[in-house]
Amino acid sequence: MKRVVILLTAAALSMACSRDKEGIVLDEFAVGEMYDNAATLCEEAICAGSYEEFKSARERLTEYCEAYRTQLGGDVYTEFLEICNEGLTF
Amino acid sequence: MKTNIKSIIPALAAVAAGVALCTACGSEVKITKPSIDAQIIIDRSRTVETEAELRDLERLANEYELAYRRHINGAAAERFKELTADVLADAANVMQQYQQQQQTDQELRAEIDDKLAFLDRVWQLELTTPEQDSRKLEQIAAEAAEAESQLAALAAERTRITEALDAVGYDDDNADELLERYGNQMDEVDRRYAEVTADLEEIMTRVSLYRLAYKLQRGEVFPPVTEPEPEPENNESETCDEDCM
Repeated sequence: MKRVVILLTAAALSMACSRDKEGIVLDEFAVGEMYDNAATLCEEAICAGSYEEFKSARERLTEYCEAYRTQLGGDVYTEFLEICNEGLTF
Repeated sequence: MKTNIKSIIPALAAVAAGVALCTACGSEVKITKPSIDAQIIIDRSRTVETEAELRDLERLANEYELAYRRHINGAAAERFKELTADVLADAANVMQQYQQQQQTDQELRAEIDDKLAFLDRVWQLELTTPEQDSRKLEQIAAEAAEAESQLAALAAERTRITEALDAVGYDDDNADELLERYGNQMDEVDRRYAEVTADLEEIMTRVSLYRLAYKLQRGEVFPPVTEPEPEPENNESETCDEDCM
């Protein structure tokens, strides 16, 4: 019984970790929604109500940057970065 | 046993000849027709992303061209060159654009990371009371004024050294010595100027940190704006008028 519990816990942990590693998966609308995505992410980072909110927004923005770089790249990625750069004005 | 050795000798000779032929050929490519071989270069040019890959492709095209010159004729080599020249030029352009875009991306990403790191510093700044923080800001302002006066002094020193350098005549006995001395002084002043400028930038960053920290953490303006007290309404004239009436 104990072994079964340990095994199930390990499996659950491993599933949770692998899900975290997946990160952001962009869909087919990612190019069209690039402006909105970038603007929203920047707004979340700038208008965060607490440090925890900011950290989470920062992480999301970084994840999206990586997603646009690895999944789309090229001009789309450059444009995404430009919008984010303009959006992070304070 | 003797018969066996004799039968092996021709085989050994053939292997040796093959090895010698391969060594003589070196890395020379196998040529077929200029249009077919050019297609190899065209196909590979589509995958060029780095300078090393481009150089490899150019080297391969050069090997083909040389092989045509050696084994066929100059016309075939020229034909091959003609078929691949544009493709190689395009590959070089594409590679350059790709590298330029990568650099732009890196710069933009670094700017974003810097801004996020700055916001992180803002959130981590521990605020006290507006009065206490105002005093800190005053200290920072004093540091900034000090740095600015140092910069002004260094700029004046730079002007003095430049004038001294201009005054050195080439017919002076100790011209070399003077030029070296003033050059060293100028280097030292430039180094100090760069240091103080960096300090001043850091000081100004601290000011921005406080301002933004108040805005983000407390939703307040910092330093607090003290509104001028409204002037008491002057009713004297009315009173006077009333009195007069």
